[in-house]
Amino acid sequence: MKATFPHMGRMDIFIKGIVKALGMEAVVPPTSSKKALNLGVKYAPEFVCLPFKLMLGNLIEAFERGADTVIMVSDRGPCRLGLYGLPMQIILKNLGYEANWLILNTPHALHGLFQLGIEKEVVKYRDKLTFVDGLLAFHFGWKKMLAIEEIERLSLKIRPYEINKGDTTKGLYQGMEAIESADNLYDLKKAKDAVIKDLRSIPQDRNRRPLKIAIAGEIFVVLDSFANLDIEKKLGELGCEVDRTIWFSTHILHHVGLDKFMRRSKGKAVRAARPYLKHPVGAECNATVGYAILYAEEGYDGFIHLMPFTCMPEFVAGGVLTRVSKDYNIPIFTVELEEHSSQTHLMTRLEAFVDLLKRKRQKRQGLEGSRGD
Amino acid sequence: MNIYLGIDVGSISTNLAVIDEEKKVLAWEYLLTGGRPIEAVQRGLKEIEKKLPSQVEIRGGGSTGSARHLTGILIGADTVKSEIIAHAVAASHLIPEVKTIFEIGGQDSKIIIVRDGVVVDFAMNTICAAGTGSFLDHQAQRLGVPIEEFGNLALQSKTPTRVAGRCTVFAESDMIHKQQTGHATENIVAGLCQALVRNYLNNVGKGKELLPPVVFQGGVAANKGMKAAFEEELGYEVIVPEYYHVMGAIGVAILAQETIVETKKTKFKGFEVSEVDYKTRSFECTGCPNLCEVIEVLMSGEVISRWGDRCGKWEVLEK
Repeated sequence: MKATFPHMGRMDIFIKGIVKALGMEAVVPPTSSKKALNLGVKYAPEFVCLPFKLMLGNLIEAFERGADTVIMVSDRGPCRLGLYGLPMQIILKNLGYEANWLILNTPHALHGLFQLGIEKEVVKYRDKLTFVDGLLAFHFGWKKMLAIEEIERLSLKIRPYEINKGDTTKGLYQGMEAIESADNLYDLKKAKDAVIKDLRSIPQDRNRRPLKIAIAGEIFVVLDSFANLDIEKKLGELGCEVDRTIWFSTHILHHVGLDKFMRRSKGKAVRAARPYLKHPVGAECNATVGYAILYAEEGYDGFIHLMPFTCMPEFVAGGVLTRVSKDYNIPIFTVELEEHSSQTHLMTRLEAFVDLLKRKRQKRQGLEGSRGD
Repeated sequence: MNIYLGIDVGSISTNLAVIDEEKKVLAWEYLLTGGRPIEAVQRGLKEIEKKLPSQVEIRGGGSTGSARHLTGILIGADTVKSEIIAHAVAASHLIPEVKTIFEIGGQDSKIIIVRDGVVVDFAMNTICAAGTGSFLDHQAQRLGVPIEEFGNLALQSKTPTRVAGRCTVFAESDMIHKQQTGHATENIVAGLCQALVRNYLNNVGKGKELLPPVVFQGGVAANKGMKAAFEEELGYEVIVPEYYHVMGAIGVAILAQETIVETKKTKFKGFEVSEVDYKTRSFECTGCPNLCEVIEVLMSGEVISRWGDRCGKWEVLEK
């Protein structure tokens, strides 16, 4: 069995970590690129969203590399992505890619792993594989994921201060590679500490006062830097300190109910959105609205809402956000992403948005200054 | 005399404006980009230099528009700003009480919301370019009406024809259909203006609080039929400023002046850049499957800047 999975941000590191610890084999699709996107666009229905097209492209590239089993995380709607496993299966079958499919849409689906005969596969690689081995493997993948997120978070904090444009991004990419290649917990810790030290030693101008911007929206386009056209890097280089509202780890923790005590949990955001949305719209919609409120209350300068073009839950959020923007006096900018989205197009709008925030802050400070006289 | 130069290089037109210390417009130039921004900028610089008094010193320069980065490198701009801010700055300078700005250019249309001289919100057309200058140009040509006459003709209409305006292709087929059934040209032209205004207000202006005074600028503001259609739809006067077609350039000239207050010294290379040999070329990077198209700018055969790559490995040249 050669299992594969579509990309979503750096989720591959989590899965690769587990697979590595179990001593199994997985076919990781090449990093999302224009090639994957073009394949997806070619075979997907025109009006389907960008995440679907990218995932389909990933899978085609994985099949070309010999994958024969697909493992896909799914949901039960109303986000269409939750139902995407089946149409993808049909499209790929028509293209001649026969494979075993495991769509994990409920915890019960886990028994599907055994239907696929995964335990036999595992045994093939290791003579004695116990439940504890499984747990350890999961733990290793999880730790790797957390390490990646930690350095990503740090890069968001450092980038607006960097003196030489691009230093942080370069350091981050190198760091991700170092963490990816770690084979055990000891190496992982060592690699992570080295990366953090390197990132911290990037030449910085700490006199700058960066604008603070939060990014929220549909989970795939928030997590995946290819899908969102490196929006975090762009904003950072325009001098903004960015905070991402959803991470792979927080998403998982929320689903197993372990994020209750976190400062910015999804549940908290959903509750904050109640004056505007009393019913769950689905996917991240309620949380997106709630996060805008929470971050506005924390004094953030601006809020960026990312959504795939034609995404229903986020379209609803976009409508509600125009009200939130007015009520909480926080500029909100919605970016709709699709395969035609262009870097220059987005850059013009981001530059204008950042200028708007800068001028707003200057004016506010001007007023405060005159009051002080 | 100290002067400041602003250049706005858009998809269709390249505009230059020169202002003095009091932000008064001394000269302006409007020419077609014709898909060759470098040549347009160099031609514009030559033309505008002729219009200026002999005893002037350029204290600063700025660039805006879709070719702002390229132009900025070309002329040595002190500030490179997006069109939205440049347009807002110019409008609030000329009409200080402005609250809403409509800007319709060649391929972009935007709404900018201003409160107390500061931009608080904006929207730009995203997925579709219906209702922008290029489309009006194309339709004027097809109807055999010179674009300069388009607005006047629309004003003559008493019973504008209803034209479907959501999509320009369908607008065109609807117009053809109306022509074939005998509607007069002026009614169709007026109907088209109304359809475009409806489309603009619904798509670009959705959810925005459009308070007067409204300033209407950009190339399409020359069209009196569009101004009349906006006024009819909104129910109040829409102001078209004197320099409606070069507002971006004026705005970025003002921004350059603001920048110089801080930096003191200009980076502007002088009008001589119109004589220098600039070229651009591109190549496809094969470092990864993204196959980014990298653009290089060459000054007298030497690469001075590059952009277009996702990963940033070619960009390092830029200082």
